[in-house]
Amino acid sequence: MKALDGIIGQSVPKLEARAKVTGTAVYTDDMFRPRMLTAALLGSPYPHARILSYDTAAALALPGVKTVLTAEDLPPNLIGHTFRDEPILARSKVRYMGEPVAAVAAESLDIARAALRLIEVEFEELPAVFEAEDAMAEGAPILHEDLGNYARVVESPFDGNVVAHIELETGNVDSVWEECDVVVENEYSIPAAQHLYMETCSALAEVDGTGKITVWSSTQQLFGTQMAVAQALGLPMSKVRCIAPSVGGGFGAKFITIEPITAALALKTRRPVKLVLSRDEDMISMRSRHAAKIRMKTGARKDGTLLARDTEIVYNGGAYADFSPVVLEAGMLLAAGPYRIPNARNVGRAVYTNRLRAGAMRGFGVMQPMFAGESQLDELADTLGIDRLDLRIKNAKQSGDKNMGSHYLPVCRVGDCLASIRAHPAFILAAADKGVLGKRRGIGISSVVQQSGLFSSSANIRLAEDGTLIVSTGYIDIGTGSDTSLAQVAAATLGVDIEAVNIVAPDTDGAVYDYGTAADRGAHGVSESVHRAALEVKERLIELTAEILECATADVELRPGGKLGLSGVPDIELSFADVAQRGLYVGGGPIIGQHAWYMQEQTIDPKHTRALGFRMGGGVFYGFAATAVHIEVDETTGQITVLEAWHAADLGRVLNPNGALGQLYGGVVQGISGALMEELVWDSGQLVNPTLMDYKIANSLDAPPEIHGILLENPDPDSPWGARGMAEPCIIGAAPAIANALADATGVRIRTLPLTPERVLMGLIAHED
Amino acid sequence: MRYCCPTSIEEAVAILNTDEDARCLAGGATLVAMLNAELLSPSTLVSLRAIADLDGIRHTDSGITIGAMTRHAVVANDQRLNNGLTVVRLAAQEIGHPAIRAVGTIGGAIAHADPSADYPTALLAANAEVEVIGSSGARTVPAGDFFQDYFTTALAHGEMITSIHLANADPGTVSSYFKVARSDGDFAITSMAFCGNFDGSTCTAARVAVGGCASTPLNVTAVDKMLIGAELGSDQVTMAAQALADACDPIDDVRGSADYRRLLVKRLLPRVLQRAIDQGSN
Amino acid sequence: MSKPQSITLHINDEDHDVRVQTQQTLLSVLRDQLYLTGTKLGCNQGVCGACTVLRDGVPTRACLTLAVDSTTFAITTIEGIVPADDLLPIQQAFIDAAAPQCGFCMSGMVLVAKSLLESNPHPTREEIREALSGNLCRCTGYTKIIEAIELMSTRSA
Repeated sequence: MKALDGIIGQSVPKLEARAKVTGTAVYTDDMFRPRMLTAALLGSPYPHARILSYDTAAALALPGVKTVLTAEDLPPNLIGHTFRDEPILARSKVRYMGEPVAAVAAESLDIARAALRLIEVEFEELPAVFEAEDAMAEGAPILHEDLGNYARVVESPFDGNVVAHIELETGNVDSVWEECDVVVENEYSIPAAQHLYMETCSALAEVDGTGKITVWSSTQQLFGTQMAVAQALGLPMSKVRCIAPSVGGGFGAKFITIEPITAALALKTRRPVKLVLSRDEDMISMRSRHAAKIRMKTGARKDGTLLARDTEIVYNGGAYADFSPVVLEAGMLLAAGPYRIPNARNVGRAVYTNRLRAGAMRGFGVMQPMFAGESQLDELADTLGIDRLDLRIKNAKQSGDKNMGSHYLPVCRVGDCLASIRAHPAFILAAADKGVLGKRRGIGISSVVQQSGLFSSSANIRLAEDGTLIVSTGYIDIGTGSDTSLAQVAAATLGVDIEAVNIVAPDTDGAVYDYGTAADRGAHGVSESVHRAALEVKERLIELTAEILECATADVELRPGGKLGLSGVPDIELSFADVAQRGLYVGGGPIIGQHAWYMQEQTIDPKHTRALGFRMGGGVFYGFAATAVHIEVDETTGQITVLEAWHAADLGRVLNPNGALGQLYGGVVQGISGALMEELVWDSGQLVNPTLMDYKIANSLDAPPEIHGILLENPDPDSPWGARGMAEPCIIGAAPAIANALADATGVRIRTLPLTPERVLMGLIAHED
Repeated sequence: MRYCCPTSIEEAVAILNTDEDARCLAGGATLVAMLNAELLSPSTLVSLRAIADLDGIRHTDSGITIGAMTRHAVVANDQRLNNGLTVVRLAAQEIGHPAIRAVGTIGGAIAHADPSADYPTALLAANAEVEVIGSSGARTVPAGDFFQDYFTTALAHGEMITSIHLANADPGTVSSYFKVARSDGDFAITSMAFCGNFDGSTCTAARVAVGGCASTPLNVTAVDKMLIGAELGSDQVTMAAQALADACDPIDDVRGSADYRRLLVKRLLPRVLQRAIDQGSN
Repeated sequence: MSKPQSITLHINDEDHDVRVQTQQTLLSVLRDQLYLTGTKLGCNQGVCGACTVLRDGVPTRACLTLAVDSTTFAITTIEGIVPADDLLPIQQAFIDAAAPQCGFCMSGMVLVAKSLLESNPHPTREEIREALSGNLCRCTGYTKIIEAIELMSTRSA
């Protein structure tokens, strides 16, 4: 008899694959409603200015314009993920260039855009500050004079422009430098970059006859969006319904975007309103990854034993707090990397500046210190004369170890990740290939850690009349394959075919609750809820079957294919449909399973780690990985070509190999793209490259022709089926691996991203001198 | 905005001369992007797609004539563009991506006169002539005179490009093209094109053009002269490269700094010379 | 706003009479007037390839194509390559290789793959990478899209 859970570990085709390859998957901009209006937003022409007055009369008078909104037409409510510091249209002042100041709804996009040009706003320009270091300097222009009055879920030092300030120290860093035989200290710089999801932010809002607003949007977070719309407009959440249709990527940015203003326009006009940002509007006004400046110092004994690491990071948070405090916490928890370092101190600040807000981005908070740490590990290995892989494996954390704060690591196979790449036949060949003069080649390796899991999740499963499962969570599949893996978890728990599982589309009117698609929550955290809810369904099925068969529940067995029977008697068998209908029409009631939980953070043990400013906790789960690349450097031009890449993921257990590999390849290429060519550039507060012509991301010829994905299984004891997230770590390691490969090939060490041909060539020339 | 789709060159010229603000629409790859971004709003668009005389590559006794409406993909695959004219085919292959090359035209590309684009630099090295026509008749403009400034050409009001003429090169002429870009298919940070002759590894005739390093693609006669008699790898090539870099007037932008561009000019000259020699020996 | 003009477009083997502005792109007509929303708007600048359609069989950017200038062509969108209840073998290969992730680039990718395989049924990996190079994807790293095309090549051996 086949196993009930045989579907776990199978490359089940994605549930929505057919819709996506036929062009029938519906994204927000693909929806049209009767009498629908189109909206457009007016962006601020200044990075920092007081708003003195508005004149919207001419815009309102334009035929086809249905409404023009400014902050004066909206309740004075602020929203935000960590602090409520952000109005949905700039109120009294603007804090970055392009910040929405007014919104128009009109009969067509052309009319709406024409109306924007007729809106007059009088500004008084204020001194602006763009770099985090400058924003912390004495006398710097203050972005948020009311910082102390904002509602917030995390603490703030209320110190000028500093949004959050955290210090963590384990051991005693200052006391051990003398014991170190080698100490390496350097500064590293990471630019702001962008998520560059292919579908720009979009929303469609409609008010029904009862006054209830429905908002369809491209989002990673269903209930957070519902709450933000309600807060911003001063409505009870009972009057707001949010729905996520197909979502064209997110990577951490689509957490409350343009839904509140779209809803405000619909509420005002009482007509459906669609707002779709153009690519440049999206790039100018949504979110970036945090730029960061890092000073890092690592010390070791002659034999390579790491003794101490001291890290100081400043993250440029942009104009609003958004996820800055959470990003900072992640960085602070993990700046010491996946290594046993007895003395580690991490000091970090996130700072307001007059730039686009920085939010969460895949690899959040950790990508920055990992670039520094993994670069520095190679520098240390070279100084010590120890093999770079050996140094990592020697110091790698092991299962059962503690992380910063005394966080427990039940499973850690980072050493095995490194070893599996080292043993890969293609890697052995690549390591021997040093290229030719003028086109030298090298290999680079990094190993990384990311922490995952965040806040709450839940699931509800009802057994339908025909024995199929209706699974509801509110988790949004933004392209990660989570709908399919969650369906596999439900199917495996109850032994049914995948076709018997209906994953309910995310809708606040139907779904239970999930925090959002973030922090690798799906494979580990949300699947826990689905699994537990399915177990409850199983329990009810067995109880009702026992009643029908007039036997003890212990004698009822679940059989594959949605059947139950009397143990040891193959002929006595009921289908799920039989039992479901018995419950519905005879007695026992509907069969429903539920589970709800909070992904409890680990606390900071003060005996282990001294902590300042650390509030959220973090460390629900930890994930590890290693990345390697083989590159060629054109020494005439400075261009780097990634010839081949490896990524080994310590992912517990694989739910869906094709799904996991898709995430892995995508993360690695996104990491390579960021490392080689991505940087948002501002000039006096103006984003210089807000188009895909000017901001490049890797295309199929920039991506390496061969990526070797290694999925290392070792079931996580805390997770149903042993799975845990793997899509965050795979973006992190590419940048340091490439920087290390560059040093391997040429001896040139570059500590600033991206590794543009210009930066590389300047490095090569400096190295020759 | 009015749209018209004439079927003859004469008809197109007539429209261009009655409407001051009319613009020619060729493949659309650049023009439509600019319309979408509201950077341009001409009163009339004169689509050239129905004028058969503008399309295709013709081989004549004097050389090769490429119609203004010839798609990049056609040029990229035309093996008659060899030896001294290979540079034009190589440049066409470097433009954007397959879907861009399928619609973009040589006339549209050079009318836009982006000094970072591929064709202008290659055509300058190949000493191409741009055939234009207006109400007062046809005239021929050498590539070196055609590109006048950033996004500015020698086209007078009411004129349009009909073709690009490439004269037969001396026997044994070789050519090459090389581009440095941030991402495959992107516009150049710096590009370089070469046409010339070699005796072994000694250059006997040279015409070098640089893209992305000034308001127009750049050809420096003095540098071309310095290369005559220069052996690959010699100081003479280094000095020519330095002179070429000194003649550039690049800007800093998101693709790269002016300093980097000058550096590239110095370093790319030996490479394009070598590639031209390699091409000749293949 | 200038006065719209009436034109006939040949899309997916049907004639469509539409009224358009001169500056209106084919993409805008497909999506907003004909509700053929499988063709996506990604950048409106010709860079991302999400709006790819076939124009006389050749992959073309609908965002760089003016509707008024498209009347002589046969336009094929993702909706038109196969009857709605059916799949092309290349689409099945995309499903089997788990190529779609967020899916926003998929229509363009499928059309480019179809066009490539028609002219070159057994492309090398290099030829596939070249063919896809004008279509950006942020989720897949292109790997499984390339694998899907290779799978199709194997199946048609």
